[in-house]
Amino acid sequence: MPAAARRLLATLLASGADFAEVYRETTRCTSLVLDDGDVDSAAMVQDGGTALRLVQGDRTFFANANSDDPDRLQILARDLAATLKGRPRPAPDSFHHLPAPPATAVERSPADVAVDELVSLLRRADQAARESDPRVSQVTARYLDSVQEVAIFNSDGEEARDTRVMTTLAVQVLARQGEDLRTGYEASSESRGFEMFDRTPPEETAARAARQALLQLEAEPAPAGTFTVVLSSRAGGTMVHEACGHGLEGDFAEKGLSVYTGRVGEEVASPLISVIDDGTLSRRRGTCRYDDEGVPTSRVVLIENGILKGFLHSRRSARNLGCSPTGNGRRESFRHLPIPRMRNTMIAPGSDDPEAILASVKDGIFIAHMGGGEVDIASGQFVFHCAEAWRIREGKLAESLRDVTLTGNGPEILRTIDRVGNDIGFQVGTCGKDGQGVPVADAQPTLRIPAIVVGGAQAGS
Amino acid sequence: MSHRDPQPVAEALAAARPGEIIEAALEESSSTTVTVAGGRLEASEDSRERGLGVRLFRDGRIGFAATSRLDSEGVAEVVARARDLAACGRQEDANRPADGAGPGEPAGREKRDDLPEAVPPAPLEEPALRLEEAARRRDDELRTRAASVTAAGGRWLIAHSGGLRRSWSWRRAWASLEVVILRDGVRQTGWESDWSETWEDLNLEETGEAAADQALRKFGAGRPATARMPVVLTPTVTAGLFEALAGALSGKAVLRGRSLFAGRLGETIASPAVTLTDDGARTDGFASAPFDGEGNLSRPAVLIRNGVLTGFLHNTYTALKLQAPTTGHAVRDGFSSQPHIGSRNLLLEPSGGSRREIIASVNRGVLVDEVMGLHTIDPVSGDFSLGATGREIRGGSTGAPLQGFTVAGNVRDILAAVQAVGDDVRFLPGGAGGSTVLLDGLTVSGT
Repeated sequence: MPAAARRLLATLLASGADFAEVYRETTRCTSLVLDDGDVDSAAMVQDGGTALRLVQGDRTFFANANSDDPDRLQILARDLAATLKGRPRPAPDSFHHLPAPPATAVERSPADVAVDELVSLLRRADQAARESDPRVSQVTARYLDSVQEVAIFNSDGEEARDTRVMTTLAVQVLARQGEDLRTGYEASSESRGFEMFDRTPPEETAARAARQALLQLEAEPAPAGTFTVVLSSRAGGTMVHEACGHGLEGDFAEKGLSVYTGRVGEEVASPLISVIDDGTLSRRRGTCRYDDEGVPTSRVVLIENGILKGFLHSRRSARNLGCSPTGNGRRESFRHLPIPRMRNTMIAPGSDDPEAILASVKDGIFIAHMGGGEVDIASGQFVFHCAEAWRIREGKLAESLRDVTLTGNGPEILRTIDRVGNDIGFQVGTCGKDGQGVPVADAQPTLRIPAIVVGGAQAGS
Repeated sequence: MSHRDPQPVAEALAAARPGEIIEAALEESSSTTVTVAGGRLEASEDSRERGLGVRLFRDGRIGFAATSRLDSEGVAEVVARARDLAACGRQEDANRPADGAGPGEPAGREKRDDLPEAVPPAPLEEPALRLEEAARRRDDELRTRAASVTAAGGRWLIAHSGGLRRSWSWRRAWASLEVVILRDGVRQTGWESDWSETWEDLNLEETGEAAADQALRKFGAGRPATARMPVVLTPTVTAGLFEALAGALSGKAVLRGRSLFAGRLGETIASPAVTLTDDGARTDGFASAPFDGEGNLSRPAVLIRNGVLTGFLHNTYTALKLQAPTTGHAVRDGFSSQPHIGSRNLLLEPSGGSRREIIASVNRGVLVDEVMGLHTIDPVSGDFSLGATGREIRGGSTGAPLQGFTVAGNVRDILAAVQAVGDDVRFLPGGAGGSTVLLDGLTVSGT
């Protein structure tokens, strides 16, 4: 592989480009879906390919093919190099590895697990959900694993190899009461092998999904208007992800498009707020040793006690802003260019007792579980859906609510948060940006937001 | 089965054992994308794809495997994996491949055997610059996140050992840009896109200007009062909303008890102004193709006619299970994707009126230009609550900009609330088209 990569780099560097890179990937995925009590879909995908990249100043030239055929790739490299007409540079004589966080040990590689065992795992989830309540009417359990092998070589003589193993179980439960049909969804996913299920049994994930669906059956329609909101640490980190994470990605900052552009050193949030993105956390969904351009991952402090410290960078955004890359250059696959992305993003715990935060609210809304969301980076306007919410009356949880959506302005909300709990809770997800999906985790402590727009269907309350 | 079949397909089909049917789908495609920002080339991307998806049918069970390794060893392995996986699947008579009768190639179209290599690396830098320049003419201070133009083309061959062979080729080009305007410390974003069969036919000027205008008109936006009021949706919002609804109209969701429309065929579920169709064969949609991802002929499906539920979207399996004709709605996202039911050219049919006439009919309401969070719509219960950006409507004309509010309700309410469907139909990449639509009452949540 190094010899083949060196030959490709030699061809690419005939262009005289500042930077050249060969990215090679093979990915093997298995997915099984148990639906309505039986396996509805069983699939295995073996995919792989090579991406070649040239960078000259601000300009990037990129070509990819799902092939490792040396002749085909040489033609691709030659065509790519022909677009630039600089003075040829020599390819590096040898490659060296950059120091990176240690690899996570995989105890049971998904490749070694027999299909029968996967089926029985899904059956356990199915059974647990159905047994939890007679109102459970349908269960869909999805198992997904992937083993991605990445090898990256560049014109600076750097080499990075990474094996990324990911295991996921997602359970969707439908509960019915008369005409009313409600959904609950829960997923467990980590950067590790099949041993994940020793710690998080499928029954647990299924029971949580079932509980959510059942709660929705009993829930009242959400009110519409402006409310005080408490976000539980159990609710996950969609808020930090949407309200500030995307705005701290270096590509937006580099072009002056983010609300946080040019504000490093300024107070951009309440002094109670610190935001960190950490790609080195053990076994989290956004964890890797190297990013997808061969830069070691790291713990990046984005906001410290309300002060903006920096951004998440790819090589490109780091260079254009005069910073160091942070290990956040990610791509969905060899088919895409790497761009700055979050990994495991969190608001650091504070000092308040979560119970006391709840007790402090006379009339408001408690968010126990967040769903998906979206943000407009330039304005900071975000929205996210809540899978489980409760009305707070006199400091206590009252009726449960359905279809709660929160919408607000990220920077504004971060400035107004006035209580931060001493707890923390994680949530897993897949983040989409520019048509590329990448695995992430988000986390936050219990938080109080004094005023935020709640979008319910119940007007006039 | 045919001497003309490419080697990977011929080898896969030949591997079928007695009692098995092997279906092979070969995808070949290529694309070029050029992205500019600030009047300069930022990135040029070239992509080539070649891969094989194999479904193995045996004893009423299906296994699927896909690979990008197309040599004999790769093909043998992908067949072996599909065979392994077929052992664990649900056993049903309806697990059958598509019927092979009928034409193998689109009628009246020239077969393009030279694709995808024949899609030349298009000279896309100039059109991308033109797209951005059009936006900048609207505002000097405008910054571009990215303005890009893509030209793509490819070919599908779907064949099975039971006697089906379908092939067709496609070409598409699309342009999109995202711009940001900073004024008095406030940033506003605008986004617009266009698509066509070839890049020469893209409306670059209009698209660029529309993105800039979208950002410009948001300055000074306020929030509407929380209330129930008439809501007008723009074509893009209509398309997004109905595409999200398509999940509930899939035969699979109906079969598995996951659709709010299950068991309601023949009932009135929408206002008489609603006729909802999805025809993969129509020529003006982004997803138009003569066949679907199983090789079934694309045909029109009428899902709702004048408010009455008349049908669902089907693939071979659900059509057999629900005893309906297949509608050709098996969709493959690429060679590595199993065919699944999806919308293709879903469209709320115009029931009269131009956009201007529709807005003029509203005394006090909201025009919704953009929504956020479409992926959070619950397709089972039909409940939704979306972040929105738009404009006030007062006395039949649009007025002050609005931002940071939500529109919420249930899909059932939306269907019942449709008062008028405009004639300004626009198909978007992604499986749906839309036009200006008037809803007589939705909950708008602002201050």
